[in-house]
Amino acid sequence: MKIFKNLNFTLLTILSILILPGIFYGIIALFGKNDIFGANNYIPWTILIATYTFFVSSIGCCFVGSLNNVFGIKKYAIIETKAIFLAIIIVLTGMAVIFVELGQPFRIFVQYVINPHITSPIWWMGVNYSIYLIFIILEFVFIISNRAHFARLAGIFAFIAAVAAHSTVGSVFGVMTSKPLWYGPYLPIDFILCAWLIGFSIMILITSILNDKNYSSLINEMSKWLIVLLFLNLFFIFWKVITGLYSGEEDKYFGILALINGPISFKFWVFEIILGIFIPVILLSKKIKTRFIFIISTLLAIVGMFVNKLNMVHSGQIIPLEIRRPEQFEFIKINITLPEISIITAAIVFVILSYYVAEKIEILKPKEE
Amino acid sequence: MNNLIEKNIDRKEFLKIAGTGLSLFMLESLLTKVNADEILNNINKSVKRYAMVIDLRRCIGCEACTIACKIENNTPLNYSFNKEKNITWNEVIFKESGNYPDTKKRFWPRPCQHCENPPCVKVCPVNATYQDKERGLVLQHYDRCIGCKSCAVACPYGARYFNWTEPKWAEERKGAFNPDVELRYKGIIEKCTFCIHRIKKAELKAKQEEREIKDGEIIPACNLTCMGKARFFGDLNDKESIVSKLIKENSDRVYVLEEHFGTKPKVFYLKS
Repeated sequence: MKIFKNLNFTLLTILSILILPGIFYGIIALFGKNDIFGANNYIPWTILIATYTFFVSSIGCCFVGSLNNVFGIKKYAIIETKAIFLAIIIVLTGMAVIFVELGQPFRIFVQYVINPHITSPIWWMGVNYSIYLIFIILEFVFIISNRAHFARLAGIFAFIAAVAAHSTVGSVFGVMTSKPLWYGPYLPIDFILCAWLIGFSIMILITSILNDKNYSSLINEMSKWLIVLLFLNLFFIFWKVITGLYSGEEDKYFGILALINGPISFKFWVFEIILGIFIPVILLSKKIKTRFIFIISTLLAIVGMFVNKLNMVHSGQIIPLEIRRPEQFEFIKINITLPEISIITAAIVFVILSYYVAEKIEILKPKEE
Repeated sequence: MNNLIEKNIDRKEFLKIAGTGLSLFMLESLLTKVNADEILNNINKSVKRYAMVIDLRRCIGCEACTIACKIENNTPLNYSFNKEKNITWNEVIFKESGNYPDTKKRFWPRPCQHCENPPCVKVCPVNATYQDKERGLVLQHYDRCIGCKSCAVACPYGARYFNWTEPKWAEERKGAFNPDVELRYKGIIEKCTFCIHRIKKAELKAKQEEREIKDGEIIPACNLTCMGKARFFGDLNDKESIVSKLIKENSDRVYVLEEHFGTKPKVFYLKS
């Protein structure tokens, strides 16, 4: 908590100001027009969809938070409240991002209820996340009010709902038969792996910033898990690339080519692989690890995961539809606009500010047994 | 890479070209020959199964169908600078192939394929897009659409269009809209309906006159304007309809677009 008390008002003001452009563009998108974003009819889903999938991957904080409450691993109790709080606030922020991205977002509240479509993963995603939010908020309330039994019960349901909800996000892409790079059971599984990875990264980052000696052994343990998860992620990416290169489906093959040797290859190799996986693994494998190393390596892993989602969304759609593909085709141009960057910045800053306030009012302190 | 092997393209060279964002494709892979008997034998007389047949031998690529569709269905003005955001329910796809002087230019009109197994319908979370079982059409409830664009992502034909902003029309168009077609607005998806308003009008007229709809009574705007008479519309469940006859009589050249997605499209191309 010391670190937050040392934060000065100027820094807080700057952070608050950073939210304003995002709010401004969010309002324009909600009530004005959607063409402030880089998406178009050739590539309907772009960076805001990637941002949403990244933010809701923070469901991994719920996984980490459940290690004590659900699986009985006691040492995780000291970060439980922080993890659960972050799992709530980041998922809600992600939902705010997707809300802004939708064409007619206010219709969701009515249409989801009166016209449900059970074959649609997006409908299930909404339902599962709603259930998840109910249980995880209950879990949080029970934890801070010291009602351990109810907290455990709510935690179990929140964990089940979290797995269901987040794998459904993967299935939103996984059921797209017209996008061979996405289609199949890989993405729902991959999304769960990424959620664990992001969950551990965020919790190591937060506990390292807080710089409390009570966390040091837990940080070490979590960093070992993070190394395993980073390797698993690399393993998944490796086989995705190899199987894609052997694919007879042109969309899949060229999607992978775009990733490894095309317009998104820089983001893939530099941000997703080198900075997002190799550097954190190297740093975290050192025998003597400083607080700085933990902060840098987890920040890089988080950035790597964001770029992973971005590349996933883009590589699936970067090949022009076969019907529109001329004899000599070019990959579809990806546009990232200032409003999109402003909204993403606002979302990140909002999460930081929310966490700061929560720490300041001391609701995230670990509870006594 | 079966297709590529067929095309005799060296894999190494292919990788090199593709790596820079360019590749070679044959046009023919898009169109797949279908079994006419399979299409015509699966008949359920209690419902309609409206389909379109486009004779590519007669199509001259004039794009009159595109314009007629825009006027008929009140779709907004196209951007000249941002074609990716244009709304063109009936696009004519042009493909050029070969190297000078052995070049070819081919084209085929692409309305919504009104698939029998539509991927767009399955992914819509709020039933905004749905399959009209009585007519075999894929239609849209504009007032339900939340603008998630998942149907646009799911459609392998690029036949779904999002309204990225409030639609704009030329000044001359205002006051001259087709009153039978609802105007759309920002934030929703729209697509070809096979001129559902014309179908409904014909149905109403037939009902009032207490008779069945006659073959050829329903003519979508794109068919009406086609100067080469390349387009035909009718009910596949009626063996005597023009579309059924054309498919039967030209069974050796009946093709559909991108059959490998398993969408069972109902726009049939008679290959030239």
